[in-house]
Amino acid sequence: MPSIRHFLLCGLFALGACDSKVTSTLDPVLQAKADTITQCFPEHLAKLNALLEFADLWRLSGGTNPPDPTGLTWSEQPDGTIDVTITLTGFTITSTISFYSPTGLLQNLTLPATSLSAAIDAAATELRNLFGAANPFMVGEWTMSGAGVTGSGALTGIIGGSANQNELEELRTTGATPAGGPPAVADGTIELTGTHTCEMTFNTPRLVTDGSPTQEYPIGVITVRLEKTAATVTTVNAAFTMDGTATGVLTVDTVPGRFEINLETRSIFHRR
Amino acid sequence: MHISHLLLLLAAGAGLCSCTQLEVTAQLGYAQLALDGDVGYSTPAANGEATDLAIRQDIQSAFGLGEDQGTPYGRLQLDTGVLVWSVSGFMFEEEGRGTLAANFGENLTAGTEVYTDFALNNAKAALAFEIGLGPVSISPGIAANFIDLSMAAEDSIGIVREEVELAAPIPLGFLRAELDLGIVALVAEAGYMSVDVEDVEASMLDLEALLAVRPLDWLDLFVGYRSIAIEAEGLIDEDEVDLDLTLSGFVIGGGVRF
Repeated sequence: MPSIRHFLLCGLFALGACDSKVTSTLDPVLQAKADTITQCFPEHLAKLNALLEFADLWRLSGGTNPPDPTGLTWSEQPDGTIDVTITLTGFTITSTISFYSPTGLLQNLTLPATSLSAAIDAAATELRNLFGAANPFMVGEWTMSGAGVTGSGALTGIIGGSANQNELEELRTTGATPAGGPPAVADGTIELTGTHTCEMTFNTPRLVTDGSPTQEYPIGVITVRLEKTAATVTTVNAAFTMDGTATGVLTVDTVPGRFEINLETRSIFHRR
Repeated sequence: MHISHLLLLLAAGAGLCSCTQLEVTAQLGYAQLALDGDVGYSTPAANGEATDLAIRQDIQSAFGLGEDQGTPYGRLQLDTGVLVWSVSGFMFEEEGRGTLAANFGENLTAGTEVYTDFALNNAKAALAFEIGLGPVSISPGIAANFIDLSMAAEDSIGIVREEVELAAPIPLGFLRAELDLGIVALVAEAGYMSVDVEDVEASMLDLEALLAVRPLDWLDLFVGYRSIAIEAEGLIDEDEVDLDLTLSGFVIGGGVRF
């Protein structure tokens, strides 16, 4: 005849073995995507920032566009285009800037030789005088090179605002060739090679960097495709949203939540 | 005491009940419960031996649990005059966010921000033999407490998920005491079990106290307190689980008697 204690022990065995279990699961696909973001995006963001700082020279707000940075050399070509080289730590950006009428005709403008900043300011003012309220634009076809860094693309800046109060209305990633107006939106590409290869393809139809003279960070959405090649290839598609603050938000397809990224430190923090 | 003696005692009580009045009380209410305690969970070492490193972590700071949660509460009692049968139950759920102070499971490491889902479904069935002493009655008996506990923690992205599930009917030694003053009654129930077997040491203490007001013969209003404390330490699926949890809070509601 079983004792009460035996009965209780049987109950406890049920606690230990019946429907009790522990489960540990790991999603390798999600893990690979998260690794791609955390291992690739910060370095790409550094390069993207450099590109945006280069485009910052196009800021025109109030005629107070930023001065030329250290490491920049430039020269005007006979056809009115400007060749620019910026040497940064570890890599170089080279670009050709061209100025266009609203309908996409190349303009050969009279530019001062004092600085690229002054030349772009003068070009914007002259374009406004020539074309009035219609939006002339400038295209900067760029390449990036250095140890473990390659990249190429083009940026188009739409010039707006009132005369002598020019502003860069918006910045786009585009092709290099106008077609009756600004070039169509197109991808830029940056590839980083190290312990693994990370390629970022990106585009934006509208990025505002010159909304006010004091604007410090861009406003807009950049569509990003990251591909990390190590033992296997992992691809993520994402949207990087910047709202004019130091924190950008990266939302990645099939990855829950969002990655908050400090544009200064490039630290990444995931939130649901 | 052997189980045969207890069954004989209950059978005798069942015989007595046939000549007494039957009373049924059905109650529904609202329980405001909060979780407290610690949980540890670790996987074996590479050689398969238990690491004994299931470091208990505070469920509030590590898992973000412990806020008051509202849950429906139900209780049904059949009083035959000698034997009192009762069934009560509730379902408790809570979600939280915390930061692990130690490793949890196989893949969640200390410092990870985790999102936690906790659920505890409980049904308690009790059978007590009522011994009347004027307005006071003491009712020793047995209870079966069915516990269905699950706790899952995952990182914010959802890459890693660690889950502990405990589901079992747990028999308890049980004592029920009631002070019945007519319009007001005070009911207290306590159940306890502590055992130590091969892989698991566990104990459970279930306390419930109700103050019932009966303004009408058929109407029953109550307010009370419920506490379930579970301690368990041992191996489940060869992983070490160590938990010390208390779920407690107030219950309030009403019901009918006939």
